[in-house]
Amino acid sequence: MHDKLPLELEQRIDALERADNQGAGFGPADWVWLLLLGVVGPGLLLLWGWQ
Amino acid sequence: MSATDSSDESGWPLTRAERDWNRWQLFAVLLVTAAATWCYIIGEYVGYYLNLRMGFAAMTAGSMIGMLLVTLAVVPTATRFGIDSIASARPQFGDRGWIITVFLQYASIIGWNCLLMIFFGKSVDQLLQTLGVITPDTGAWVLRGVTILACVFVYVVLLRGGTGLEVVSKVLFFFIVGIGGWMTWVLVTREAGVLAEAKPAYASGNLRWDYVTGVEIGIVSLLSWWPYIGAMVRKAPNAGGATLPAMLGMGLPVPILSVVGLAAILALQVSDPSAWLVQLGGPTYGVIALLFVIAANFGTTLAGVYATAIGLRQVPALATIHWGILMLFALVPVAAVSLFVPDLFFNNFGTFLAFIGVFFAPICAIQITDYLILRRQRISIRAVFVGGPGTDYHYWGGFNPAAVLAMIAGFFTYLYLLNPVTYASRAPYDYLTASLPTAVVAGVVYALITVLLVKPSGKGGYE
Repeated sequence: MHDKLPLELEQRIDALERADNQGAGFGPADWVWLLLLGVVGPGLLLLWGWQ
Repeated sequence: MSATDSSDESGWPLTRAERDWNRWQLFAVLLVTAAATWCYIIGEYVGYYLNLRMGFAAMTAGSMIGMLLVTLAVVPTATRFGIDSIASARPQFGDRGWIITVFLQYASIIGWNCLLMIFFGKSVDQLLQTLGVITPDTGAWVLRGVTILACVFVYVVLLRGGTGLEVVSKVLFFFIVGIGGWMTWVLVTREAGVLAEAKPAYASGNLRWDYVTGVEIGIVSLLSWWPYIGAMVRKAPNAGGATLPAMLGMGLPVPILSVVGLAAILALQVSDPSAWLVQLGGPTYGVIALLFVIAANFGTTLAGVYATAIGLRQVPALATIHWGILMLFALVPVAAVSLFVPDLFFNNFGTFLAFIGVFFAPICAIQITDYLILRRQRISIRAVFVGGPGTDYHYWGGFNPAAVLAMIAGFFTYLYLLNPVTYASRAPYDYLTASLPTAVVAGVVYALITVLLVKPSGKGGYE
């Protein structure tokens, strides 16, 4: 941990504490892709492979 | 940090302007990172237990499940603030407890890089022997010499930091995709008959156990992306810009390339393409395979060394050290293992894989439970970088007991279900794998301790 922050790091943190400088989280479309590729797809593949 | 170091050589959060990789840039870098010759070894392990169809299904399903866990754990935090995997875990592990994740990242990536470098050295040795350039008794020295040369090359490229990684990835992307596709086509078309009849050499006699083991190998292989992914997705502007590149660029190439290893071990009893392509097409094919091995392993080693160096930046003693010296911490151990104990390391790959599942399944579960559920996607970026008594992530002495106990619970759950050394298992492994129950147990333990102890004590910055 940094006891005294370097100036540049302090400036970065200041900027990122403002919500408009932060990246957005997963949106609805992202959740659909995650569900399809990480849950539904693997489930279907496992059924196909077991036949 | 020296004045000449750029932002992508620090472990500091990236500003909005610096998070400028689009989906295709990130996709190319993640694909080049994922596509390495470890895929052939992963495919080889699955091919010990399953035929081509079942092996492909189990390995691909497991890989995508593992990638989902890693994506959910790291991408939201890394892309929100432009931080790497290690920094993203500080809210859960504490402002001293994060050292656990640094150690695991270091051990894991060093391990993978050793494997890649040794594989590369063995491939050069194999090809030069086939071509009659060297004799078998000089092979060990060729392996060592080639490995050291490769380490030096990686060092030189990464002197440019993440920019060097992105530039090299653009070139390697087309090479890896093109030759990888060609190798698969050659193997499947020429050996179709043998593949259809091929039986796995070490099938247990319990098809469900074999199938679940294929899934488990897929999951743990992709869980090993946890240490890598943060350093790269942090360059994306938001989680949406990293979702598909992560799932398709980092998740899918592993099972697709692993099919080459799976098919090769079933049909030809060897997974190294620089060996079996010579069998199929002579020395010219062998040279092409070797070029592929070089390209694939080089890109991945670059990404691994870069991610390790970024992770080590979080260690106070290394926070201001020159970038060129920092990289030596990531490269020297690789060179040492490759020089002194290459065969010992290479022959214990299965145990190394299990070690990844033992530790990274709980880490992913802890992060998912904490960030997405308990904190509802809100953390303090200041508290990630400013620690000490009275700050949000100091917990008790810098350690969060919820994370430590969840790791311990996950560790023993995994060991109960699957012995990483002997692969002896207990129910319900043959239905559920070892990694998934391990993740569930770790997540539940973390949530319970947080709700019953941490939150009521006013620790952790929970709202």
